[in-house]
Amino acid sequence: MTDSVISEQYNYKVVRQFAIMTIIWGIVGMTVGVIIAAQLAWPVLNFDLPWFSFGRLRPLHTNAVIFAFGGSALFATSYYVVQRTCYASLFSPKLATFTFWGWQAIILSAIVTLPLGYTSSKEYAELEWPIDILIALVWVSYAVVFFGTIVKRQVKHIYVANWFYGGFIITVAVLHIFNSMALPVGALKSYSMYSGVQDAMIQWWYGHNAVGFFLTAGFLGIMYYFIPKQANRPVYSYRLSVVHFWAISFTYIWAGAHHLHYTALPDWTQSLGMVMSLILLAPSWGGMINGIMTLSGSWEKLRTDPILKFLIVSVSFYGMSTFEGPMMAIKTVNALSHYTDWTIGHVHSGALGWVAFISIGAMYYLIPRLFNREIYSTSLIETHFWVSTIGVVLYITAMWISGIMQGLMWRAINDDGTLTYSFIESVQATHPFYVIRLLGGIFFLTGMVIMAYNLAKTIAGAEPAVADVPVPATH
Amino acid sequence: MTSLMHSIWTVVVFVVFIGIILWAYSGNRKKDFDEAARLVLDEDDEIPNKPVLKKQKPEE
Repeated sequence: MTDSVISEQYNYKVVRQFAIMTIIWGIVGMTVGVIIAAQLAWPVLNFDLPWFSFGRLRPLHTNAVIFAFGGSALFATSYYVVQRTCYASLFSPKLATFTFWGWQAIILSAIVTLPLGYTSSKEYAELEWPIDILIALVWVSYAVVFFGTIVKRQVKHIYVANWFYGGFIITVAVLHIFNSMALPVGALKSYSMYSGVQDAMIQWWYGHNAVGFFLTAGFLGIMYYFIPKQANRPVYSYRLSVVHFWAISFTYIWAGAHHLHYTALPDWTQSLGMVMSLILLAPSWGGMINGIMTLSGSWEKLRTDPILKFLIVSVSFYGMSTFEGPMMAIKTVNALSHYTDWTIGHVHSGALGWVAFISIGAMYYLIPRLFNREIYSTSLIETHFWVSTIGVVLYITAMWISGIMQGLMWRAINDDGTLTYSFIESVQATHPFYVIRLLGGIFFLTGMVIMAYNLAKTIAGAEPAVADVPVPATH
Repeated sequence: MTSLMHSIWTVVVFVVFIGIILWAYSGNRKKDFDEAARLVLDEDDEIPNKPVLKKQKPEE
């Protein structure tokens, strides 16, 4: 508020670092995805190498795309958004630098330990205890940097995107720390502090809220900043965004039990998980409508602006997978869908269609601003958009067909009560769809390579952008 | 005892949530929320980002 503030500059360096790593880790994680998709279609590609086998590479794929690609996108965008909307540079630049190098160290240790077979065997929380401790340290530092910047803000109001980022940071800290509680018995071996069904419930309380807060709330923060900016229109309904935030926060936390239908989990807990998952449809769709309707009155921008296409189509995929999710959480539907490829299709409509698309859109917005350069080629963004859309559609339709077919084959019973199909017959029937899925993955990866080329051309020879923290307009 | 506490807590959280909805949709929040929604558009973030300070447009 005083003149002395003017000399302060936004911390773009750490944003730049995370933005570039978003693209690199995206390509790495999706390449591993393509490899394991090929292994499922042609098992000979496991080459009898333990470290190269599907079981070892699959967690590497999920960790790389969720935490390395998605995580870097969240760090980059949240550090950018919190600075720009608070009119303040990052609190503690040293700690921000630590979060970057710490996060990269975590990813590198995942790349080494997972193929070697070191795993706690908890899905999306496979990393062993020393890495878990580093994650906790980096995450707490992230919280200090983020909330410290909010405290430094020059405007009174905390913009809604920051609420979503803040909710995501706090919840992920709680989830990670509680789910990773373990008794170490060696340098890279530990046993969960929980046992039996409690362990399963805590794992899926973690697992589903990793979806709800890491892969949803965080990326909704991206939605609430980057769609209004790219469309140059204020968010459709700000009051809806406030209700959206609290509804998501209050509801998501209950839904994890739907991962454990028809298990040893008590029936009432399963039913509660199902009902809360159905209720979750309301805030999810409220948010989706809020994001898409931001464009209301200027829909023609969608025709000419491929970045906006990425952002808006991503929110459409968000709507689609948050409709599909509650449906799959209904116990009778789950009886058909669980343990089939339908689940994989559902995850990827969210992960590719929603999370990756909105991250890609945000990177196309950010990189030119971080390097003070116009984008090298807008038509290449357009190409990227269509190539990856074809990829997602191929992927999810193949998995829908394959999954529903599996479910129906597994439950088919002859008149005399024997199973109509042996398991191997269902495996055989899925083969063509595994090939189509691989093709979809190759399309999506190709899009990422096009993006990397386009952005490398944009950055080449550019000086890093420098931006002063302005004095906010009076509110 | 703990289950009673859980029940009370659930009701409290539910009431708080209803309160948030009523607060968000009450008429006198409209002006502040419109201003908040404009917050991101008020700051100049065009490419190329000039390293010099740009004058902010004053609020109408």
